[in-house]
Formats: sequence, structure tokens, C-alpha cells
Amino acid sequence: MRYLVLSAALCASCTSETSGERVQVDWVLDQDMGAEHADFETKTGYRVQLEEARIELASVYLYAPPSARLSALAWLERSVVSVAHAHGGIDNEKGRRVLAEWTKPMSIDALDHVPVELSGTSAEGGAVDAVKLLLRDGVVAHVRGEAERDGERWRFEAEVTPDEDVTRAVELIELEQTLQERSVVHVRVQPKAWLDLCDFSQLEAASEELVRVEADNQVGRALSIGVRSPSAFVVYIDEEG
Amino acid sequence: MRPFLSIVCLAVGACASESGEGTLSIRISGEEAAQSGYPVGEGEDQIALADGWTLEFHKVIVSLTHFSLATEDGEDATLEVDPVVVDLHQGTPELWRFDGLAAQRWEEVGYRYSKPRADARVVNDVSDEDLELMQDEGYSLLIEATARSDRRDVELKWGFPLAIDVLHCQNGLDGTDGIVVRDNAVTNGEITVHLDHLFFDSYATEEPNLRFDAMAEMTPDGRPLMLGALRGQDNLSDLKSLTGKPLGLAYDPGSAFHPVPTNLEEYVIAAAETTGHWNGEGHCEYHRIAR
Repeated sequence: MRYLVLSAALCASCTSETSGERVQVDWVLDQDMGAEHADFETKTGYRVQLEEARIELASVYLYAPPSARLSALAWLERSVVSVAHAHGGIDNEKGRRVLAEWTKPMSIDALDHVPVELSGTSAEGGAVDAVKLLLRDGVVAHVRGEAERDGERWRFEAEVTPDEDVTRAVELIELEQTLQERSVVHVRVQPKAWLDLCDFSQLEAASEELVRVEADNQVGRALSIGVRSPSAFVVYIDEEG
Repeated sequence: MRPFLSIVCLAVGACASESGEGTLSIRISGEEAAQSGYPVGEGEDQIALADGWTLEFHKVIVSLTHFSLATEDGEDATLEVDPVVVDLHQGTPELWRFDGLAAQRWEEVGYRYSKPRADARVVNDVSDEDLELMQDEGYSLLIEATARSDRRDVELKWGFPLAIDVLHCQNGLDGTDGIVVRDNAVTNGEITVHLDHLFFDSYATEEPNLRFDAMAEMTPDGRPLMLGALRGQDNLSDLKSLTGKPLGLAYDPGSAFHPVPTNLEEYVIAAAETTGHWNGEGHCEYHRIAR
């Protein structure tokens, strides 16, 4: 208990310098090419090589902890446990304070080797504990590549369009970082998560011809879930830029 | 209100209980489904499994160890709450009654699913055997049911080792935070357990289907379907029959659970963490705690 109280006090002190102040933050798309982006093995046992992996992002929001409702101690407790949502479509961040936001729709090339520096935005300094990424309406991802298992190959391409009633929000929690002047928000896409649960053997028979993946087969369903998975994104803050 | 208190309140200008005191009665309900199973309701309001299965619950035993009330300013009602174990299949009993509460809005309502403590009070007819099982295995939710289709019957016995703080509950009756304890009256509050969550095939849409096919496929011959058997469905985007034939189904966790469940057992346990509500449809936040 003492540790918790001490931690809470420290936490309060470390965020108080910037909390509430206007700060300038930068945004960077920098895919970690060393982390199996274009050539990887899926959980279903396929070796996949990607030629294209693009995702359509509408906006990104960074949220302050709901500290107005929680004591410092309760907030600390919140930061060490996981939170679940009761239903799909529930906006868990509704009413919470947005500290920083990127609201220009962008098409992200997840295979790009070169970091893309976006323009800076004005933000509010302070502790951040959650991120929401909103995918665009319509087609949210394009993917093309080749999968191989046991000597059989499938060349595939897909445009991923989730059903209309499915949320386009991807939520990440437990960020536990602080925004301050010149902080840099890094957004990374992990296309391996898109394909991890695909079983390409449920496509048409293996061949060298390009197969267009339909939404109503296993690969299409897995892609639709995968591109919206929290595992498909990493957002972190380089606090001091 | 007594004259002295009135004078003090006027002098100070702000009293937490300037409207007096009231009683809060807390009941628990698994809704009609806990007693009648699925399908439940009629017409457009009917809740039924999309794949034709019916479910009849025999036991829905819940263990709660905390209940708390506080204001948004941090005033705690400091309730004396004994841990309880209750079978929702048997009805909607009162769990606790708190007298002498300040008649005001208590914005923060919360409670805890946790395994039965040694001093737990058994609210209705829960057998010693079930209580012991829950204590030994760390279950805070134990369900026994029969699922039926036109092809076969499946017996379920699922124990959920949940340790969850259900916090910041909204009132399902009016969408406001917590509850208002009325002056000089008994206010009723209900912990509402939504059993349909256990069978949702998606947490990425507001209107998921309830399904049982992929669960039924994991049933061992001649034995009940235990929760652990659902681990065999280890690709939530590709549910399969016991023989490995694709069922053409997917379960979509969306961003609802952290970490993302990797098999159907993890998915159903994560879903069970979200079953606790407040006054019907009131949503809460769910925080895992160390067991």
C-alpha cells in the first residue's frame, strides 16, 4: 500500500508540470521494418510475403485518464489492470478529455521503409492512458502478397471492408505516457496481425494466379477482424521528442 | 430533519445529507433468462440463439464480496457489506439493505465478483458442494445448463475464475451516474447479470448474435461441456467442428478485451467479465484485480 501511495504521489508530481498547458506535438508514421512486416509466419503456419499493405485511417485521439472521476490512487490501480467493455459500440472514451488528435484522413503504407513526418499539432500536455484510432468508412485496408505452406502457394489480394454495423474504432489502453512540449507521437501498423488467423487453404486451390479474397470466406473474415485488432497498431510517445 | 441539523446546514451552507436519510435495498437478478433460459421474451424483443439452440439454466451462482457507494467528490458511504453467494436461477433476492444513508445522489456504484470467502453468506439454496467447488477453484460465477438442438442435448458446467471490480456504474433506468437514495424511503437498486454476453459472437457491433454451435462442437462424448474444452477452438476467425471441418463462423472481439483473447475459452471468460450491470442495462467499467 505504501508503494502505491508513493507511486501516486510521484505520478501526480511528474505530470503536473505539463498538465493542462498547450504544447506542440509532432506525429510520425514509422513502421518498424525489423519486426516482421513484409515477411513473416502467421499463427496458422503460413509463410507470408507482402507486396502491399495499406490501411486507411480517419483519425487518432489520445485521451487523458478519467481522473476527474477517479482519485489518484484509483487511477494508479486502473493503470495496472485491464479494462473490458460490455458491448461493441460502447464508446468507452465518451466524455473523456482528448489531449491530442490527428484528424486528417491518411492512407498508411505499412511497408514503407521511410518514416513519414506529419505536421505538428497543438495539444494539451498531461498524462495519456488510452488511444483510439478510427478507420475510415468503406474500404479500410488493401493487402496483396503470397502465402506458402508445405510447398503450396497462394497469391492473394484483398480490399477489406468491414460490415456497416461494425465499429471502426480500435482502442489501445494502458499507454501510461505523458505529452509535453515537442513530444512525438509515433503510429505504427503491424500487418502481421491482419493475417495471423488466415487459413489460405480455404481459398481456391493453390496456384500462381492472383486470388481476390471475398468477404464471406475464412480469409476475408479473418482479415476484417485482424485489421481492427488492437494488436495491429502500436502508438507510443517519445515524450521529449 | 432535526432542528439542530437544519440550523447547522443553513449555517454551513452545504451538507452532504441536507435532504435527510433513506434506505437502499440491493437485489440481484439474472433477468428472466436465468430462470427460463433462451429463447426469452416475445416478438421483436425476443432473445434467441441464432443457430437454433435453446438453453435452459439449472444454476447461475454468483459470488460477490464488495458493494460500494461514493459521491464523485470522494465521500464514501462506508457500507458494512458481507460477502454473498446467490443462485440467480432461483429468483431475484435482496442481498443487502443499508439504512441511514444520506439521501442524495451517489455517483459511484461498484461491486466485486470474487471467489466466495470463508465467511460468505449463502443467500438462497446453494449446495455445500457447489460452494466448496467455487472456493477451491476460485470461481465467482458457476453455471449449469442444458443446451438443446434438434440433433442433440449438451450439458454445460462452466466455472469462471473471475476477480473483477465492476465500477462507475450508470443507472440503467435513467442513464445517470450511480443512484439517488430517496429521503425517508426505500430505494431499490439491482445488480443485473447479463447472461447473453457469454454467447455473443461479436464485441465489435451493438447487435451481436448469440451462438452455441462452435461451443457444442467441443463437447466430449458422454460428458458435460466444461469451459476448458473451448480452448480447442484456437482460431476465433475459423471455428471448426470436432473433426476439423470449418463451420464458417468467426468470433470478433473488436477492441473490447485486453489482452485480445486467442481462443474461445479466453473469449468467453473475457465476456463473462462484462456480465455485471446496474439497474438493468446500466453499463459499468470492468477492472481485473489480482486473485
